[in-house]
Amino acid sequence: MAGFVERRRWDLLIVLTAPPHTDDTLTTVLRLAQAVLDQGRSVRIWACGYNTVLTQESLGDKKPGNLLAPDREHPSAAGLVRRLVSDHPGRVSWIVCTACSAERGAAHHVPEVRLRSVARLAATMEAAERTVYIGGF
Amino acid sequence: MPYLVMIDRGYRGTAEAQFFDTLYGMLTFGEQLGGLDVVLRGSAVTAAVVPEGERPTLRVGSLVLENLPDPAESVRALLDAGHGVAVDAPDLAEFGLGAADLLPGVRCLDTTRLANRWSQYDGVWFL
Repeated sequence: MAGFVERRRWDLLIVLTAPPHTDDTLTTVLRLAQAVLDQGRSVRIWACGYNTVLTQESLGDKKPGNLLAPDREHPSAAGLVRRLVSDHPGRVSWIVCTACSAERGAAHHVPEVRLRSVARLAATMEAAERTVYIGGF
Repeated sequence: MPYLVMIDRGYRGTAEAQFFDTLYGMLTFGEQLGGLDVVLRGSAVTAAVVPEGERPTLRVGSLVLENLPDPAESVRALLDAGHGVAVDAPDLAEFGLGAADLLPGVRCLDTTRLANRWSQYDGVWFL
């Protein structure tokens, strides 16, 4: 008797396409994801466009030093994503679009993120109870 | 004459930029360039408004970011360093605000009139 694969369901998928360092979209996405997690629910973030450069290993966990306040430490965007994933095991997934990543030469990502082909976008949306698309190309 | 610097947009990435925003760049460049006249327009005008309420934080998992961008602090630092800061009056009015809402030392004027003085600056930057 053939078995059936039970696909994992997610409460929310956020498709993030607005570029970072231009407005507060990434901040909104982090706040939204954290609010969903605080409710005990699960969330996936699909990072497209220039958001794919935010999780490169070369960024490290901390930003470069603040020349005007050298005693302060600031986590990098990669560090924030790592913390978001590692602090909520099994309930959050940060997906990086392979096409956008390759287009921008973002080759080496932190181990907490998953690379996924743009051809899987519809399937990823299908696996979510709700999808929120934030941004534009 | 120093450089004239126009900044038209604020809020360019709280989480990813943190301290590394346009005003931070001006604070680090200003002395090298021999002084700045910074003009805030568009959504950037709010950087010079007297802040109200508690400073916002951002929580990501167990991490709480308490040193998010503080534009008002940066404007004060520019003034303390001897740079000029002006806000575009029409753009400020778009937010329902006026000169009385600005930090001490910030000028409020119709910045289109500054075009008549561009030739007097060593450079005019649009950031």
